[in-house]
Amino acid sequence: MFKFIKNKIGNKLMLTFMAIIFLVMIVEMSFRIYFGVADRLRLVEMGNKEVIDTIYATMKHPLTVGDSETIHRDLQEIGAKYKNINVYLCDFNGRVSFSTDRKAINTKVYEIIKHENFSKTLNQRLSEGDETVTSLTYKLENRRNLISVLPVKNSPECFHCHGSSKKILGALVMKTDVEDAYKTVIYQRNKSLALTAFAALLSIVIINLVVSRVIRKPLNVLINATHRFAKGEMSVITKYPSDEIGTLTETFNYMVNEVAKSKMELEKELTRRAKLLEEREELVALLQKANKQLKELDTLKSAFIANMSHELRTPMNAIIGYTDLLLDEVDGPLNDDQKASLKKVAANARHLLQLINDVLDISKIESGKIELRTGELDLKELIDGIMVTFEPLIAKKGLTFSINIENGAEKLYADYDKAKQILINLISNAVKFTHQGGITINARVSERGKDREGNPQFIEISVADTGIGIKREDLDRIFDKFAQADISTTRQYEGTGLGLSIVRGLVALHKGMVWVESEVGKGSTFYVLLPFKREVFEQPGPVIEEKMADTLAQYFEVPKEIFLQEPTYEGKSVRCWDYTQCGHVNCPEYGSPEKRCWLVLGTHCKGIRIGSYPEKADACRLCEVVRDLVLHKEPLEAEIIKPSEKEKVVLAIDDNPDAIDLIRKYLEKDYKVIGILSSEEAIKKAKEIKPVAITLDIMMPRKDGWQVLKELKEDKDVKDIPVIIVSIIDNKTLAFSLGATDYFVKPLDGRALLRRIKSIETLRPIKRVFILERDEKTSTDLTNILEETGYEVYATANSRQAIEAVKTWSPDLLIINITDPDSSAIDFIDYIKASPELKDVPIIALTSKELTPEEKEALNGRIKEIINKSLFSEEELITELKNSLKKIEGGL
Amino acid sequence: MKTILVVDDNEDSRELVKKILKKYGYEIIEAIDGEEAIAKAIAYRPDLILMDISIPKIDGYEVTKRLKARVDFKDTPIIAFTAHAMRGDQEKALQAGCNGYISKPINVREFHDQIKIYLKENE
Repeated sequence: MFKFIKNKIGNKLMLTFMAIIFLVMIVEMSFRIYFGVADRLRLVEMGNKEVIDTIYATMKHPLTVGDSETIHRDLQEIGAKYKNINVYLCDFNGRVSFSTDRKAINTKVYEIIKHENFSKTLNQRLSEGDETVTSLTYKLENRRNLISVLPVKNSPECFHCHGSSKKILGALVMKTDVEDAYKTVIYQRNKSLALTAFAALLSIVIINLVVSRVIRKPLNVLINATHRFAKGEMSVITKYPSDEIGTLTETFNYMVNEVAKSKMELEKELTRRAKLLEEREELVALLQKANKQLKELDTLKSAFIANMSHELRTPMNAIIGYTDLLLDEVDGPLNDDQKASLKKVAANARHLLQLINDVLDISKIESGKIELRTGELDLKELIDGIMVTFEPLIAKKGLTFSINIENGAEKLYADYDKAKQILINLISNAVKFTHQGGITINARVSERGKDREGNPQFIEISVADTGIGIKREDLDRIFDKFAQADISTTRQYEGTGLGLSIVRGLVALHKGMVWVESEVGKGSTFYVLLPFKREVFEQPGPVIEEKMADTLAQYFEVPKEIFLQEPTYEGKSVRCWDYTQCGHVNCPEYGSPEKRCWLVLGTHCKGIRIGSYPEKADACRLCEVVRDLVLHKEPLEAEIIKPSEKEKVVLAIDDNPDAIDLIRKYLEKDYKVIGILSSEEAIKKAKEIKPVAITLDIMMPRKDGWQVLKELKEDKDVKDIPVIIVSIIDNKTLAFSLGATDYFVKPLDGRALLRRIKSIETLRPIKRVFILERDEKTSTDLTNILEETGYEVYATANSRQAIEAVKTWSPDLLIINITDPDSSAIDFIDYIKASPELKDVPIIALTSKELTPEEKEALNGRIKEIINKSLFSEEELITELKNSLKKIEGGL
Repeated sequence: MKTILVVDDNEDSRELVKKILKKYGYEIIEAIDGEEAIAKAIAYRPDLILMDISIPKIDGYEVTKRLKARVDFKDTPIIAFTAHAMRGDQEKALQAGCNGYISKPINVREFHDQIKIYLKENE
């Protein structure tokens, strides 16, 4: 019940209203009950007083004169007229002398009106001499009666009968039966109370209706809507009043709409996420599958390697074995030719076996199947053991050989077999490529790769020869697979091309490094760092050695300590080969099977020094990982290579350093190629360098080639520099409309690019145009158009005059109408072509008709363009001419 | 005259060994699979067994294990003779009970010397 009230605002209001109405009603009723009846009765009483006064006044005179008859008669009349009134006139003893009721005469008034209080009052009144009316209400015989007593005073008129002794002679007593009147009053009061109650009830009903309509109903609608909303139903309320609840409803509607909107967005987002998640799961499943397959493949590969090993070596066993048996003349003597042939078979069989072994080794290194069995080794013993095999060959070639092991470098901590293999490969290379002089092996404690306390951990073994040497450009590929310096070398020096690759792999397993210094014709020195401390193998990742840190620090102009720290990327500590997947497209190693960061692992895997290839290090500056790891700042300005005055420079803009490298390779004989990797610097660089031409890539990060081209052509300082687009995408129309001079689609035909740049370079910009045209209108039109475009124009109609004119006015371009009646224009062309100064000036021939093949033949090679005027409207002619001009200016 | 059992499924390999060793006066017995190897080993009691590993029916490791489990073969040298050149193959062979390891392709000129070591003929 209380809850019912508590929880409903309408009920609360109702209850309040009801309480107020009840209160008012109660007050009203009590008022009526308390005062209503009494008031009425007082009115009756007052009426009575007047009646009694009137009666007394009427009786006074007859009393004085003692006219009893009149008194009787009057009283009788009153009694007859007012049935509820009895009037008694009593003497001072209470004996009734006159009355409306004849029977009452001579009886005591007390006996008629039997009421104790009345007797008292009457006695009191009779003893007092006061002619005022006392009214009393008594209940007589169960009916309410109003008794009025009026004492009759003695007066001088009465002395003659009653004497003067007495003050009061008697009293006039009037008894009025007011029961009926009273009842009427009560009835009226009750009626009025009922009316009030009815009115109250009615008001409650009305209020209830109003409250229902104004508050309860809209509130309920709102509440229901809220409930539905809470359950997720997004419905708005269409009907609502214009009051505060209406405002609330509007707000609610707004809220519902907003929530619905965001819910929808959320649902969309959720669907998207769910889809993404699904896709991701699919991807994960796919990856897992792929991973599993890869693992299976890996196992298969290992099994394959093992099998191949077996299967290939089994027949090799027979081939080599039988050949050797034959050579040992087990089956009888051989002649020299047979022996020589068999020796070739044997040598090739051994080479094939070596190849098989190397391929297997590489496979094992690549698949990480090699486990090192490290231990302490004696370097001298190791080298001596190896040299036994090489000594005959060295002796045969007449080479010298020396070993020099410094103090402290006697021991290695490495895998015996692998260390031996490393040294065999290096020494066999040295012996193979050396024809005079000798081979020196040095070993010393290395300054590189020290531990954190600065204690050396590596022995540097160098194998120096005085052989043919390696070209600079081959130095960085020499450790790659099948990368004998060039094919001719492979032909000349048999080898598998895998030896150095194996060396690099095996050295890397020892956390060491290998690098080479070489000069063509003077020899090569291969350096290997191998550890002599066991601790090396307990450190994570390769050791960044100090010398490399120095190089890097110098290059990036930062303290070298940065490079000696444990590298972190994005706040996480990482090992060097975690960078291998950095995937930055600018990384020179991007897409290479090595997938190692060239900068961080540079010398480890490539064996060359940073700095010899600025573009590569520039790329590293763009690399986010390196930037984050090393520089913690924006990429540095690429070093500006200032060209010398005389050098002709081509600016190559490409985000891929290899592309720049390629362009350089093609152009370097004739041009200095300056490459920039960042398209954002293009304009600045172009202004600075003033190149004869710019090659521009289109697909570049941050700012694409179109933007660069547009900006180049908008800048007055560089807009005349011809731009050649070199891009993988083919959109010549856009390029030419933006002002490019030519367009090369990758893969780049480098020789064509060189020819093109040469042709551009020899171009003279066209400034002065000479016109020979008989038709005055055409001549004027052309002159106007060309002058508007910014050319200087000389026009004439006569070829004789023309010949005279060009002697002093040297043109850059000739426009000649060749279809004049006397063919004198051809004479002019002949003159031009015969003149040493003018013979190279391009000519555009205008004709008024289609030329015959003979005529074309006659002009062959002498003019650049033929424009048939008759085929074009005036406007088209201008466009055509402009296109020709553009073509000629572009050197086509 | 010492007897040598050559176990190899490749006929050329067997012939090669035979050809190399025959002139030193050994008696060569051949087996082409694991079962035959065990049978002939028990029948002929060879002084040395050259055991190829990849052979049909029962592989060389298993043959070696079974023979080495017998008292009468405890002291017979069994030499793994295989083209498996992976590291670990050698260990596996030694673990199986082989006394030595000669990898294919063999060196014709050194082969006899290697055999002699295991036959203890040098002493």
